Amino acid sequence: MGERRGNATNRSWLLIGFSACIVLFVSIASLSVGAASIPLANIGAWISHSTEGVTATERTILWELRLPRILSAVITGVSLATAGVGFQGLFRNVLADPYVIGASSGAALGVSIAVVTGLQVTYFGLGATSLMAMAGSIGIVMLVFALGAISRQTSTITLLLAGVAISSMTNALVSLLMFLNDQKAIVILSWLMGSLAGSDWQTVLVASLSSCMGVGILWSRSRQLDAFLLGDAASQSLGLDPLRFRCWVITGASVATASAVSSAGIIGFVGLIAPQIARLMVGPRHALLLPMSACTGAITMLVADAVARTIVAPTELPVGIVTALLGCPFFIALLLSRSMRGSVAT
Amino acid sequence: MTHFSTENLSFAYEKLVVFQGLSMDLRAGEIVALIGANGAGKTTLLRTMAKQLKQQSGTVLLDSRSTQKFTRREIAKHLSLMPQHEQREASLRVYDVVALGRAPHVGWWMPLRAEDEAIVQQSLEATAMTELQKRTIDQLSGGEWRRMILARSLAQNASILLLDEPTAGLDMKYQFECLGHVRRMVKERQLIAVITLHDLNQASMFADRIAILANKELLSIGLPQEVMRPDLIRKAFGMDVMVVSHPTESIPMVVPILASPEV
Repeated sequence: MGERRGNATNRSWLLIGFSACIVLFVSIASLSVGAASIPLANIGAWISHSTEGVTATERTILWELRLPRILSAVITGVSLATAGVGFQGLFRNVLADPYVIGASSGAALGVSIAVVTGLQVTYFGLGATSLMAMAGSIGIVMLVFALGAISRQTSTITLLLAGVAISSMTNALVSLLMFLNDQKAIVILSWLMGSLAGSDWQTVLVASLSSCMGVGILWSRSRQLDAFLLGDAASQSLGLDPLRFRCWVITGASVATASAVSSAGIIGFVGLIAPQIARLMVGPRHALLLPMSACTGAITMLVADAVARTIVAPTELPVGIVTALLGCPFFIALLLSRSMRGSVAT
Repeated sequence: MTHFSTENLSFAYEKLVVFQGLSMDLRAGEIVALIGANGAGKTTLLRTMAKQLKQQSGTVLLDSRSTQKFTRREIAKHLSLMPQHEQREASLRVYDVVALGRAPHVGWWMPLRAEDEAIVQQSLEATAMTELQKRTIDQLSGGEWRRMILARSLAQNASILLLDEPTAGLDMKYQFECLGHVRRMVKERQLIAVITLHDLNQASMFADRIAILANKELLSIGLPQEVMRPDLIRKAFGMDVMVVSHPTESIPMVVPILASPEV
């Protein structure tokens, strides 16, 4: 009997392994695209440490620009997708995304303050905007969580409403700052659109550490997330402490989100769509859903960033615009196919 | 042998008292049916007994120890509450849901051991769900879904089952099947079951004792013959009934009187 379940689980793990290979393949392929196109053969030579077939300029481009940027795309995709799964599980709603309780508006406020005040600080090799994005993102989420906790309501609705209220207030503050400092508005705006152009090894290092922490926390909660899907009473009956559960999931998801926004700005739709695609492939069990979403998130970001770098070369588009432009039709197609099959999306 | 009791248990939402001074002593191997009008506090009582709601005063004792001293996970090893409603849209598979019943024992991180897998399969078998274990739960009928929840409670290895309207929404055959399952489990494994029911005749047939919750207190608890009395039913439900004897079994049956001015 055990193998019955084994088959389906093994097939899912096979799919996840296959997707991880695609992530690797797309990463290598997208090393070759950009303002200067580098043939795949040269990249092969570079990876195998061969001294021939790759010029010094190409080496610099690959090592200093492309590789950190591609790693950044992977980390951002993984973080946003995983955080998306976390919030979707917490709210038992597949329309939740990593920004649902204010992480993005908090980050935007942090960045606006940094830009407007001309803040010049560097910690762990991160500049003022990255630091303020991270601080703002986590600060606003903590504020929302505190508001949700004060009301003593055990329902997650309070949390959601507090998130919506605080987000719109924070967004208004961002608009106000932009309105009052119109010369600096364009700097804030370009950050809001999301870009991986500023990636270097230092941001990659910090982002990967914080991302690992967030993703790790969420993955260690996967069975709890499964139980929570069944409802409050059922999960409590299985021994789940709802308050502690909520606290951990929010911590994990916000740390992952903060890692993404601090390195890439606000990138929409990835955290919403990547989990949906993963859910279609491996089902709702979080032990499988989380790694699968990480893969689909990474692939989405890699493809979007490759498009952003090439479509209007030699300049580039903000990647946030690409994810939203490509993501939206894809999402609608997904919704239509779902409603045609008449299944409920969970 | 598990021992489960409440002593002087009271619960209130803010100022609104739901029940007070409730004392019950439950024995292993017995089913107690909890009956009462809508809003009498049956669900609240079950959730308080399961430590999902915090009582205003009084104690719930599990093996002579107050449940306040247990962690949630410790409680879950002994006690399983089957809620009236549960999220059913998730497309988790039956096996996965039943396997979650092992969580209190293996924890939230560790993979299931071979013995846990065996218990899950036994629980599926005991509820005739083995064939359906690969189905996703949004594909189950009402009866199958109830059986799956029962299987999960069994996988939890709980010696105390608190079942909140396990027959709601089921047709007559499934209602009897479901209660029959529970009764067999309780007798075979010497469990304790508290079941809320709306059908008084089912309570008479399947429960060893019946408890009536009315006017914020335990109106009566005892054998069906002692509790199924027109005056008590009238107090609890505001309805006139006759109590007759089942044609073939020696159990009391409640028959509503149609001409009652209340109807």
